[in-house]
Amino acid sequence: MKKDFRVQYPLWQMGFALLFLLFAIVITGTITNFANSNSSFIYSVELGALEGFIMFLLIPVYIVMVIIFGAKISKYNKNNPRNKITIWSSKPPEYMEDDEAWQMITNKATQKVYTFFSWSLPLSAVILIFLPTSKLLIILNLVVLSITQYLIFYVNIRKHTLEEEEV
Amino acid sequence: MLKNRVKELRARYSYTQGQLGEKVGVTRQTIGFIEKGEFSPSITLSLKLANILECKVDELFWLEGEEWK
Repeated sequence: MKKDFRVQYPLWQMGFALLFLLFAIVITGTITNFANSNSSFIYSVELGALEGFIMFLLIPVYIVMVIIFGAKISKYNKNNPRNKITIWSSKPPEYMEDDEAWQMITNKATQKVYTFFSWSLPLSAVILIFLPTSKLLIILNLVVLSITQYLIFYVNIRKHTLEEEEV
Repeated sequence: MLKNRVKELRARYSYTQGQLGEKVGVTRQTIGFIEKGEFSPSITLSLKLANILECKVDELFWLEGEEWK
């Protein structure tokens, strides 16, 4: 069960969120030009040497992650034709609802995530009101919330997948 | 805590957790959770388990101590 892709899915989301944060750090640190008129729209990003080098490293990492991620989804769907994962579904694929025990475990994990958001969102709003906000700070806040959400869910599901051998 | 004799009766019929799970329509892990008392099954699942293990539900599951209050 611990090798089930649905269990690992939050880890992938955390990885993509971290990568997104690195992209955001680079992009927000660059010179961006934005022009909009009735007939045209121009958006340009000018990367410095360091930002360009970081981006040069990040893009292959992102491509490799997407390829491995896609391969894992395909493998899971091949092994579970009745319970396929689609990233376009509005229902998070990491939900484990195979039977009533797993529904209860998923319910408890999502309840903990809900509890986290019930105080972290208002707290974030207050912090962003009082701190001098930048685009990067808002993105950082969202990424931290997102990663924490997946971490809470993962830890709570994971502890039930550390199964003993069949007796 | 909800006590049970699922493991004992399953052994009597020489079912593995996976085989018993398959018969009642749940995963092997869920049978393990029930046996360890980590999960209290629904009435429907309890009835299915009792049916497969050929006993009454109250012979399979019972409450002990403070749980009655």
